[in-house]
Amino acid sequence: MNTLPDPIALCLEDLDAPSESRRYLQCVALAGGMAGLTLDDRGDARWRTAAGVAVELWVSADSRLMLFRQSGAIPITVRRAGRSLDAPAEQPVVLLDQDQLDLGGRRLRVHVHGTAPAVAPPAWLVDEATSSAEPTSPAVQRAAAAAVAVGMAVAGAGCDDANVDQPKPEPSATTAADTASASQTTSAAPPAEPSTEASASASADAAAPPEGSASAATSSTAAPSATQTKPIEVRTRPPKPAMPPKDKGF
Amino acid sequence: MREPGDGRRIPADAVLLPLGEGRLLVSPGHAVFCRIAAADVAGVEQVLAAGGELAAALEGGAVPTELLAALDRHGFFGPPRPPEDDPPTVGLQLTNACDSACTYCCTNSGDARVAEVTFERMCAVVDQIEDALGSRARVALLGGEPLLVPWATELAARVLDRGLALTLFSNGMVLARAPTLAARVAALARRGMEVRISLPGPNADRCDGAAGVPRFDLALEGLHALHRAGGSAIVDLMLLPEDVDALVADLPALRRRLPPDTTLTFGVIYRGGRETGDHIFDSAAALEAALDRVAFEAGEAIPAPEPSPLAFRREGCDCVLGQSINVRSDGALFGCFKMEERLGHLDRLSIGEAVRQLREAPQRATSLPRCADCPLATLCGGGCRSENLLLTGVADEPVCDTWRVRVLCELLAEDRVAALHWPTEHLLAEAHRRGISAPAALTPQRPSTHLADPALEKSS
Repeated sequence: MNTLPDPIALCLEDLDAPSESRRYLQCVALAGGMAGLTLDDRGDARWRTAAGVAVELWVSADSRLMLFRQSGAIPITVRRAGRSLDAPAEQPVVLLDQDQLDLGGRRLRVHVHGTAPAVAPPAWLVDEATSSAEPTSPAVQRAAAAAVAVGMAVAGAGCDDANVDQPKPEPSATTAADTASASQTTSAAPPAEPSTEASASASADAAAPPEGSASAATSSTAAPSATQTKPIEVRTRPPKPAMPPKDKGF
Repeated sequence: MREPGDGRRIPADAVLLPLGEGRLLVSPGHAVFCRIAAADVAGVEQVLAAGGELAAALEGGAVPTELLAALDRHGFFGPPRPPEDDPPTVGLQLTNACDSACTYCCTNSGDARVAEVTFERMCAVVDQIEDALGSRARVALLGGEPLLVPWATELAARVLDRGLALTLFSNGMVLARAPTLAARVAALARRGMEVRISLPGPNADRCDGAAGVPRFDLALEGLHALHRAGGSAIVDLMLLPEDVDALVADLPALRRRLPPDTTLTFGVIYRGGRETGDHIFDSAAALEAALDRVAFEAGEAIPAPEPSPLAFRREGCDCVLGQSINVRSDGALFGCFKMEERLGHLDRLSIGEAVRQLREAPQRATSLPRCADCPLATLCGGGCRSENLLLTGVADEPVCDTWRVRVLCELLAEDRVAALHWPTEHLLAEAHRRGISAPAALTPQRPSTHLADPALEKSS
């Protein structure tokens, strides 16, 4: 008997979020064929609605997170480890933890957390109340980021598996879609146009986020997907023999 | 108040080389490069005419301050670039015998050579490594199939006993057939030996077709035997152009069949031995396009080559600078793992003496007639000598003309420093892609040494 794959918990990080409270969106992708998580042509997440869908995010039969760009949808670029792909229409693309999606002028980082214990509509990781003051100066930004980081730690180590262990109960589909849509509206201020330098900076941030930032808290605690594997090295020369072990094998 | 440019100078030997747009500024002494935009070329020419002094050109606005930052980022104001700090390597081919018959085998392995090295002789070599190349030297045991040699694990233990880093290259099949051997290899792996098992294809059909024997299932069984015995291995999956579709389709299934946490790498074939070009990607662009497909369709992270404003100094091909020694299974000595250009034989030359000779008279590119005056000589190093040998018939004679200099300049202008190690055929394809006038194709001038070697006659 075939069983459906488990839903996958993920966060979508808006790399150009206008505030920390609108940076991380907790989401759950459902098995393929089930109406669930989608993105519209502005990169806003939608839930269980067929209207305005540009991209579907779902779980394949072998439990991997897939991106499926609908026919006629806006261009979407997936970036990973220095490579990029313009997602073809109606052909699934496998998404991995830390992939970046460029669509609708937005840059979204995907954090894949593994199996979701329950299905829930998209919800901001940090409540508006947690970081109510919109930071205006670097000092205030640092303080706010620190507060967010603390909040994440208290709430369950931030954008990681622990955090998705306690999803909110699923409301009705209509309400959920409305909630997601409404919450997205507040974060839809147009971000700065990404430049090469900005992208490079974002990549660097992902690798070594600034101390004390929410990114740091998240990146350091983000758990890889259950299906995530080590990067593949491509060797054009014989591999360099291994370094000796520290104790030289004795 | 500080002077514009803070007294910084462009090295006096710097020259401007042509690009489609602008110029490439290169200092061979510093082994550095930087694209100069067309609008800034006249200003840089003014600086070069003044011996590299930047202050006047900056003050007069002939050179923008942004260019100063770019030159700084590209190392023009630092010390000369160093060579890559790679540890020395020693490759020991224990036998040419192999229980596979891979169509692409770069060493033409299959049959043992007439007279192959003995355990005692290889022990003597191992005992000389530290004196010859220092304690950082890394050792590789290879074949043929090295585990067909009964003393392979004893030799490996001796290398580890001496505190040297060690890698064993195997096809893994014998590990499936001999559990006790798998246990011995696992014990060595736990002591620090890296084990690398190669797979010629991503599924049984492709793998066994390329290997010429039923290999896929046996190799996977060997990996599991090693895993059960407490060892682990890296799987080197050969990336052949004709296998990309199969790789995209079957890589997830292969992943599921490997022992947990197995590291996977892709190996790209080079010309040599039985490989005459059929299994080589036509261009670097084709290789990268294939990797893009595998990454996104099979769901893998495959880091792309990273652009860099800095390259390591490359005075010459690595094999003639005394950092690498390779012993073929008949005792012949080579500077390069490709084992095309022979240095001598263990009967008459110890590895220590071979290294000393290479280091006393390194064959730098600047000593080659074709490269002596080339501003890129300290970046390109005259290319790969084994490749030169096959393509021109002479190791000292690189496949080079204005097209190669031009395409390298274009790539360096984009900071694509990995291109300095591309095979010549990829550089040629890139020249064609960019519309640079270049030969239509390259024709090898001689067969691989591995094919022409009379010592490969069957010992039986």
